[in-house]
Formats: sequence, C-alpha cells, structure tokens
Amino acid sequence: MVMSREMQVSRLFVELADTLVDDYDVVEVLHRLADASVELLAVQAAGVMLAEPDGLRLVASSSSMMEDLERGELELGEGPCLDAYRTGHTITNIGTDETRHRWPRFAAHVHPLGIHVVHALPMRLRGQRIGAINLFATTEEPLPEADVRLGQAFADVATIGLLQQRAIRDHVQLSGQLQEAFTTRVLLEQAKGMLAERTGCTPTEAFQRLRSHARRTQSPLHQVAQQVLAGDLDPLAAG
Amino acid sequence: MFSERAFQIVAGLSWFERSAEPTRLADQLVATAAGSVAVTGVGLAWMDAGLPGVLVAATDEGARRVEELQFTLGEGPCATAAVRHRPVLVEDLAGRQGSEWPGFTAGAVEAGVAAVFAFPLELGGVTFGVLDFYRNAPGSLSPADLAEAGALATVGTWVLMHLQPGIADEDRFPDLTERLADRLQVHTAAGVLAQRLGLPVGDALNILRARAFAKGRPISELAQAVLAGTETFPPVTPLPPERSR
Repeated sequence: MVMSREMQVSRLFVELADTLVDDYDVVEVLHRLADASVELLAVQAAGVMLAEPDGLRLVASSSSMMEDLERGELELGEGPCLDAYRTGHTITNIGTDETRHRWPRFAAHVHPLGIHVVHALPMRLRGQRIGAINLFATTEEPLPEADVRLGQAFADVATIGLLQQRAIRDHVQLSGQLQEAFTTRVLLEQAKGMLAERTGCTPTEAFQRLRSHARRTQSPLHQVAQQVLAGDLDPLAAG
Repeated sequence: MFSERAFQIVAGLSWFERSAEPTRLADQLVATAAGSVAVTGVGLAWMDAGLPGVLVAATDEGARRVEELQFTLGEGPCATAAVRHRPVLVEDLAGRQGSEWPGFTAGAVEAGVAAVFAFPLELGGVTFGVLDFYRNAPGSLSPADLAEAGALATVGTWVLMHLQPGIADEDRFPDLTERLADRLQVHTAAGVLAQRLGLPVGDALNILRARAFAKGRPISELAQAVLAGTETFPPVTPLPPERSR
C-alpha cells in the first residue's frame, strides 16, 4: 500500500516527536528529517547543521553530493544555512542571480552541480538557536508556501525534541547529584546522632564538630560521617 | 515513551497558569490518575537516597498510608519497582505475591489495601520516583488501565523533573522540605540508638522500624520520641562468640 502524502507527513511528525524518548539517536532522527524533506517537499537535496561551541557542524545530508555541497558552505563560511542560523530567519526561494549576489563563492560552488534554488530554515525555539536546515532544488520553480510552512514545522518539532533531549540529560544529571546529596545527608544525620549520644552534646553541636573536623582535616563531610559511623574517629578529636 | 495519550494528559494539567507550581501539578496528576484508572487512590513519591521517599501528592489517606508503611519498614512494592526498574503489579496483597514484603503486606492489608500497582518513574536509567495506585479490593488492572497507568507514569516523571531543581528549597516547597526533614530525623535517631545499644546503625534502623510497626506509629513520630528521650530501648544482649574447634 502506498502511503498517502498526508500519512507520510503525519508519520514524520510522530517520529520527530518521539525524540522525547530518552534513548533516541540525534543523528538518526536528523537523517530521517533530511530524507523526509526530499520526499515530501519540492526539493531535491536537504541537509541539517547543528550548532557547536565553535560553529555549525554537518550532521545529516540526504545524499553524499549534498554532504559535499554543505561541507563547501561551511568551509567557505558563507551560504543560506549559515545566514538562517545566524539570523534565525527563514530564507526561501533564492534563485541563481540572488544567490550569486548574496553568497558569490557559495554560488560558484553549487551552481555547477545544477542547484538552481536554495532555501534554509532555522532551527530555533524562543530565542534558542541550535542549527539550520538547507533545502536545495535543481528545478527553477519556487517552493509552494505550503511546503515552506511544512518544512519549518518539521524543523520546529525536531528543535523541540533536541532541546528536550538536552533538558532530559540535565535533569538526569541533577537527579544523580540530588540522590548523592541526600545519601550524604543520611550519613550525616546518622553520624550526628551517634556523636551526640557518645559525647552528651546536642545533635546541632555534634554537627558543628563534624563540620569543623572536616574543615580542619580538609576531608569531605561524608567521609568524616562514615568514619564516625565506623567508630574510627575519636570523638574528642572531633571536638 | 511519550505517547499521544501522555501528551493529552499533559495538556489537561494547568502548566501555564501563574500558580502552576509543580506540587500543584502533582496534585492534579494524582487526581487525574484516580479518575481515569479503576483504583481507590493514587500517590506520587519522589526518590530519596535510593528508595521511594517523600510523598509529593496523594489522593487520600490510603495512598498516604501505603507510602508511610513503606518508609517505616523500608520495604514494599514501590521500593521493589524502583530497584527493578519495572512496574510491580500486586493484584492480591493477601495472596502469594504479598509474601515478598511481610511487614508491608501485614500493615497494608490491615489498613484495607487489597491491591497495589507501583510504577517506577525514570529517565536515562535514573529513577526519579514512583507512581503508585492502590485498590481496596483485589483484582488486576485491565489492559486499558495498564496503558493509561503507563501514560500517567510518563507524565509523572516530567512533573517530578520540574519539581527537582527546587526540592531542597524551603521557600519554594515548604511542605516537601518539612517531610524530608522528618525523614532525616529518623536517621539521627538511628545514630543515637546505634551508639546507645552498641550496634551498627543499620541494625538500629531496623529496630526502630520494628518498634514503629509493632506500635502502629509512623516511624518519624517514634524518631522524635527517641531524640526527646521519651522512648527507651532495652539493652541488646550481644550474641555469644562463635566457638572455635
């Protein structure tokens, strides 16, 4: 059964939205995005670039020729993808003359290979810019408005997924840190109680003694706590 | 897995209201859960030092009791679910399954809890908490309810994630930090008892748990009594040393 275009579009959205699952592969999803852009929009080549601390990086291209073209854009330091990323604005229907005018070296690089029209869609969400999508066409016709909107919608969903993925990583990391912090607190409380009972001081005073001992010996608190619990620390020395 | 149903549930919560603090979202989530799954009550707990810990939201006393029992005894379906990273479905607590947590089961059955379904809330291999459903009559969850519970658990993970950054902040979540402080006090009392009885702190904790369970009191209450000096424990007779041949 040949899937209708509507179904293909829906399926792509679901796949992109699935990036909210914690075990998804960025590169794989962006390859899907590049391939689907060529299938579903009136373009013949697509590529995705993501921002790294030192600039844009090529992540996924719909063909090896496209990969070469995009690498060229990065090396030349000029082109639609770079502009879309930098400005956060959509760039559409740039024909050969305008391309030559705006990005002369890029034009000299892509025109010999039959690229007539270029578009670039920013990947951004509320001020956060994370990359851009290049769409190249070998035909002369401009991209229908509906295709532009659809392409930007794909870019937006992929962006949300990527940002959420990063947020997830941060939260997971935070969770690990919090759990560790609470494990330390548990040990501290136990050591506090033990020390208080041993020396006849209040738990608050016991905590102060633990803290000053840790500071004096430059040891981490949880280590001092563990020593008290193991009975290794002379309570008078901790006073 | 963020299913379409999970998206719908999220959309039904008041994320965009001004007063949409994560604890209120947690209250909404458990209320939604109790309404959409055939159970008596629902509780959402945050992880605390490796075990399900502080209760973030609960629909009723039964859910609170289920959670309190597990903290007091250090055992139960929620703890098992968190450790196994898989839902633990106990359709009949009084049956064979319940024997896995003798203390918890005895206390829960007495409190009228007949079935418990515990879903670990996790991301990236880290368990954030547990969403647990209980019923006052035995019986399994229907396939539809199971799927719904799964979607609710996904949303529960996200609610907890939003709660996390402020969890130790007294000003943001005073109820939670108070509950956490109660929990920590249990460990202080365990330290005191360990020193007094000349035992490892783990053993002292178990003695506290056993006493709390036997007296039917929450362990945090007992801990306060230990620290105030109003709860005494007989000295423990050390075991005779092993005879060597």
